[in-house]
Amino acid sequence: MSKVQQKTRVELLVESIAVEKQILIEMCDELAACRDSGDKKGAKSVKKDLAAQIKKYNSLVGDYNKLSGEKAPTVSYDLPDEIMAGSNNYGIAAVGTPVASTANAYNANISILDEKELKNYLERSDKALDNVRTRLETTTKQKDEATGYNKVLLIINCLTYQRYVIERLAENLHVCNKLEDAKRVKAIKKNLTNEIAAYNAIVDEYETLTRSRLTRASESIPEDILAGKAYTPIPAISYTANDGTARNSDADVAAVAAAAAASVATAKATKKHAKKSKEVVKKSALEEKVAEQANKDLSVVTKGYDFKISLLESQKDMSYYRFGKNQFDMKSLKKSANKRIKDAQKAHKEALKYEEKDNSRYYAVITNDPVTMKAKKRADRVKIASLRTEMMTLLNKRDEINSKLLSIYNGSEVTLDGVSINQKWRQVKSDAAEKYVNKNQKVAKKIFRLPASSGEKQRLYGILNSNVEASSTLALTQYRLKTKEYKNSGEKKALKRDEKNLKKLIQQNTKDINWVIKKIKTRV
Amino acid sequence: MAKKNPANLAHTEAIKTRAGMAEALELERLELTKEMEKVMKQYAKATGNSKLGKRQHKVGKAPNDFKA
Repeated sequence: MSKVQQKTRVELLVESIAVEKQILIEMCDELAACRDSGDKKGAKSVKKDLAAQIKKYNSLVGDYNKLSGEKAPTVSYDLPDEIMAGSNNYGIAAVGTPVASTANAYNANISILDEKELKNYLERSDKALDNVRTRLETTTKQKDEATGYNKVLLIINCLTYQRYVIERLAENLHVCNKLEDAKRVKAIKKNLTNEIAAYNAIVDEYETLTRSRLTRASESIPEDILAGKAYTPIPAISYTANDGTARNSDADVAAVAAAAAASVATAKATKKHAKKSKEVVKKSALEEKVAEQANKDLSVVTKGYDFKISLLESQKDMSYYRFGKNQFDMKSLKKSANKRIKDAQKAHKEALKYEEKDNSRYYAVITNDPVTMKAKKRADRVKIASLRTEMMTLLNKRDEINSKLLSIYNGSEVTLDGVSINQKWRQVKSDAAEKYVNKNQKVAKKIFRLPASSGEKQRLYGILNSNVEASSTLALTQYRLKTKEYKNSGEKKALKRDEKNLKKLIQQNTKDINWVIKKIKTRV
Repeated sequence: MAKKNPANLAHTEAIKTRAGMAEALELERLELTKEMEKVMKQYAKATGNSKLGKRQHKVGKAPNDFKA
């Protein structure tokens, strides 16, 4: 190992030792906090981790002593027991002269390292970062579960770890920028921005809990580093004994923390309630819309079947006004009409059931928010969100069609067979048909007495029946014109034309019937 | 048409317009159901909930696929 390399290695060791020392102190703080709060289980766990950390720290110090020839003191393995016994003096001496204690700034040694050494440095840094991240994760979990006094302490620990992560990343960003590794620079920059946001979130939590202000991490750190500006360290915050300064009594801290925790709990509850209320309003608005649309769907099905059933009933009405049918024919006609009506009613019930089934699937797509639902991958969530939007569009389109259909079904409309589906219209048609039938009973009797084949008679009855339809439709047309039951002038014109044509049709049919009767009589 | 063939009652202007409109709209509605079923299949795949993608009847065959 060359002298330069040896020097670099020593400097890196000093840096690493400083970092491990910081972690060691934080663990000692954590143990002290557990001791103070009487958390035996927590203390046991921290003691175990602390022993491992001391071993790691001492190993680094041993390496440093070997390389530098100095005799830096190691940490006693009895330290955890001493802390548990009430000691707040951890007695961890500084090793060497770290360029930036606790890695508060990126390493000035970087400028003297060559590319290979920089890569080694990065590798080491990444490994160290992973360790801290694991620790941060554990502490964050503990912090989230803790209350009052313990929570404050754990927040401080989290801040320390988070700060360290930021500083390490800042350093790595500087190194990668120096190495001109654009891909990594981009990744670290993004990562660093996220970590700064995470740090500031913990600062907010601390401020809410303790009502004391802390310096936030500057969001411009990544840009500053890339611009070659000096890194501004984030001020450290410590719990108690590590800096040797006087601390508040446990009772004081506990009282402040408890009061703060209570206010936080109230604030959280209010916020949660407000959020919940907002969600309920949002959800209920959505549910209301969904319910409205779904009801319209069911209405369309119901009205559609009403339309169909009314047509069948009207056909049944009209079947009473038929010439040339005997009682048996009429009974059979009535039976078949009733059966068709019954089938339609049954189909209507089925249709409603299936429409509800369909709707429960379609509207579930809308009511299930992809943000809160479980999805295996982010890509799935994006896909689900896009499908949800698509479904919303389709359902809105269907809603528009439903409205149009309802305006037709609810209005006074006529089917293809020219049968009114409106009750009043049905009545008008029936009355007109009955009037025509009564008026033409003599003609029907004439046809019945004719010395003609039954086929000829049926054809004559057919023409008479056509007149029944025409006269009833004419009556309806005249009724609509009289009561102005049309939508526009175009429809009015069409109705007037129909009226004229229907009158002509009835006249022509009557002439035809009389001509055929005369022909048959003269034939005989 | 009404002028040319007045005997065909189904072809009277008012009847033709109204019934035709309802029929066209019902068909359009049916087409939308087809599209929605396609979306449901994709949705079922994305969410892993196969039940959502299944319809008991084919579109056009179910009782609620009403045709005027």
